[in-house]
Amino acid sequence: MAAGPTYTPIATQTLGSAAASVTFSSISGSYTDLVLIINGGTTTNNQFRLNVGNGSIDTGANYGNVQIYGYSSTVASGGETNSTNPYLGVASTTNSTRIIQFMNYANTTTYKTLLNKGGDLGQSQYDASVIVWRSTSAINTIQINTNGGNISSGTTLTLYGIAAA
Amino acid sequence: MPILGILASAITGNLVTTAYESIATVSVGSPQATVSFTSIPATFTHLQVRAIARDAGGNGEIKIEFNSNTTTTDYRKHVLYGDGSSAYSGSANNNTCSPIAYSGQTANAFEAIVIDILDYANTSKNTTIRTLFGKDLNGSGDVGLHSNLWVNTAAVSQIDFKVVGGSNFAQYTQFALYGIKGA
Repeated sequence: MAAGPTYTPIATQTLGSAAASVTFSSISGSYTDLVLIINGGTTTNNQFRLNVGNGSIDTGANYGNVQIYGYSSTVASGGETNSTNPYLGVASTTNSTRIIQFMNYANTTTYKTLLNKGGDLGQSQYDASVIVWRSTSAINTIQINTNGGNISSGTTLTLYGIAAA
Repeated sequence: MPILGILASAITGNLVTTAYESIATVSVGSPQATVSFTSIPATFTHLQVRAIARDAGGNGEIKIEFNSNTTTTDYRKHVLYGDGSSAYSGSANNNTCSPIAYSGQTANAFEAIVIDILDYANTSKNTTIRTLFGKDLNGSGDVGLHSNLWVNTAAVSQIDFKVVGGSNFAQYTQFALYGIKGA
């Protein structure tokens, strides 16, 4: 019944020096879902953010998100509407981990929905969020960036592809 | 071997990819009430279901049933979720595992869902699952975590997903089942 192994590493980028963004481009459309694992941080207390696109990064107001997060003894929910650079989560000089699921990223009939979950000890926050890219285009470019600072040297970003039977 | 997907919060480097296998996929061509995976082999340690889903009709939820057990009170759940304004938590004796986008909402918007079914073939434990779900409708939506318990120690060999309180799974809904091996 099983169709065979999947969860294939596509690319890994490890920053040798701090950078404003990291981009994965020319991503094959041959998988069903993508998973991006980020292990690292930012050079100051900051936020990881993201853009995606087809051929080039879309920086239009075509994104939205809903978040739930906990910090200290508080849990809360927020969101962004018509965002040009949607929020992923807080980051700091303390190591953060984050996993982003790009569901059915290559289909050309639905908007693209991402599930994101991560945490950062430096800013004492844990979060989950859903992000929509309101486009029916396939995603073949992903950029991780911040809301102003740099991603830390040593941060590792690994992109995997999952192919359904 | 770490558990993949939403459980793998601290993995660095590349994974041993032969441990994660695609088992079966259901893509909905025309609206249907149930998505089923049958004759699931017991050769894995955990299962993962990855889905995008939309209800062709009313505002419902997705429920999960194991081994054709339709007795709702044989299941438990706890939920933590947010709607963009407030966070909520709760519990119930039923088997709903995720909201679902529906036809009255933004066109082309689907609920994204990742479900981990842990130790599904173990006959000494009740079956526990957890779900990460979400949809964004540009000003509304939901994101959250469900934990579900099936109060039964049988190995899981069949999984049925149904829409409760709505109508049918819409075209382009897709459920994909994967198996994760242990060492």
